[in-house]
Amino acid sequence: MSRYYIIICIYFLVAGIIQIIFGNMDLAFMAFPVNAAVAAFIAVLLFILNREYGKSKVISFLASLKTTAVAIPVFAACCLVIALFPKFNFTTSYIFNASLLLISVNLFLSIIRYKGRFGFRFMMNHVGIIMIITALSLGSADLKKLKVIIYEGQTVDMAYDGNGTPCKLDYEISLARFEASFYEDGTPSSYSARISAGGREKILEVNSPWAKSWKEDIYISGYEPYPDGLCCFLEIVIQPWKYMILAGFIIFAIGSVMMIFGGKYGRQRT
Amino acid sequence: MSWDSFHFYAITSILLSTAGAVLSLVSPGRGKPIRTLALAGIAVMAAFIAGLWISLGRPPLKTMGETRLWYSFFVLVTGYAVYTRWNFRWILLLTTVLASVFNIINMARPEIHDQTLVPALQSFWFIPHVTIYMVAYGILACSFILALAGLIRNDMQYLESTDTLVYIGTAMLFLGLTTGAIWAKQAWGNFWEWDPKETWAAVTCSGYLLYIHLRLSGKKNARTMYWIIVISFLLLQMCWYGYQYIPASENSMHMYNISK
Repeated sequence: MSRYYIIICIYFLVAGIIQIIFGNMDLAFMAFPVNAAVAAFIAVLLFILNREYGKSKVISFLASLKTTAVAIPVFAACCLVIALFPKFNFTTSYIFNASLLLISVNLFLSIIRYKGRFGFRFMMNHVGIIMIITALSLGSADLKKLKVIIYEGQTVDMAYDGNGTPCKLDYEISLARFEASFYEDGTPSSYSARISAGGREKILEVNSPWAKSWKEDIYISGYEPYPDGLCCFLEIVIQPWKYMILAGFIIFAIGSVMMIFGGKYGRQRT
Repeated sequence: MSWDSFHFYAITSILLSTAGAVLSLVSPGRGKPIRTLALAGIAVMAAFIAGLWISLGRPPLKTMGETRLWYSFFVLVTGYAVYTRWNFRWILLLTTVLASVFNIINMARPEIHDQTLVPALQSFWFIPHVTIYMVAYGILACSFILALAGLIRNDMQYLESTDTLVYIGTAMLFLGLTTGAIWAKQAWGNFWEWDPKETWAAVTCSGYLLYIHLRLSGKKNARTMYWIIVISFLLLQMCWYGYQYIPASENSMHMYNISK
């Protein structure tokens, strides 16, 4: 086996040892600006390494399809662990994040070294996916989801995180009106909530959240009938990396459309 | 139009498609009648789907039975497209059989639902997300059939065709994933939550991506490539419906059947 494959094996072995010693990663320490600094550092480091040692066997291997052929199945194996054993919280493991790092290194180097004839399509696909991976993985440290429980006519300034810990909001939310309609069999056909917060009013519906700010969206997530009336559940999602993720998906989609119309590469023929 | 008349449409479509498929085997030179019969079989399925859509007042994309309709339809369409492009005599028969299996399952076990559409499915993204995936499944089903043929015949001549089908099918998987991610942000608050179906979609895409990149690296071991397509297609089945039978997926948000 090539010594570079052995290096990759050692890389994941080290990740496994770290995993055993420290358990899953604590995302809290990766919150902004640490995550942005890490992303910038890795990008600059790879850029310099490629510029200075681009012809070296190590850099060439890391940028090559050989690394891709290892990184993809390892990522797939990690996804299988996530799918089959969700209680492991494998997404915050060192092993899974090591696989994401390997993919990202391979992607970044292949992007800055690409000289093929499908330049624009290649860039759309690969830049899109690296934006998605970076923003979703590193940005997850800044993602916050808070639940608000509110009755019609009520004003609250308290939300609760996933552990049920109360969290005081910077503003008050008022529920002016909650409406729900049902089919004949009792299943809900639609429900909406007219809320106000920070001096503005908005009607929330399922699939129609309120983009309260560039990083904060308010959703209507459900309701529960109580003797006093209907209790409405709202969800506040704070995701500062939202637009980078969205941009990544749009760029990726452009590359996908180009793949559909362009078909396969012409280089490989049987 | 309702499921009560499905038997008539399904049997008519199966008969027309089978006639075209058999003709392509016994008289491959009669291209026009073959394509006419194949298109007629597709048109009958399309007529039922359109009629059901109108009568339901919503796209028939909510239950497993309804998605099987689209799968049968798009497998026939893709088989027709592959036949027209590559002239494989046997492709029409195999895709007809595949589409017929799902039609027969629908006839034997109809999943009939009323017009209930839960609020979570009332979104612009509903149709493109599911329809794009159905097209992708149809195209990748054809690549699966070709890969099986390549393995059975130990013949690498199908690699070029599978390359094209995998590129197009994988790109459509990506588009389906993208539309799903944007819808997820709109509905659930995050683009990607490692929901079981999302996770299996990532595994499936990885399989086909591996194929694409190995082919780009110059790999010509046809059997290995065919096996990757076969395994990826099996992973696709897990993503489509198999995940529901895994206990770890019990909390998935993607369950099709909505209880009354």
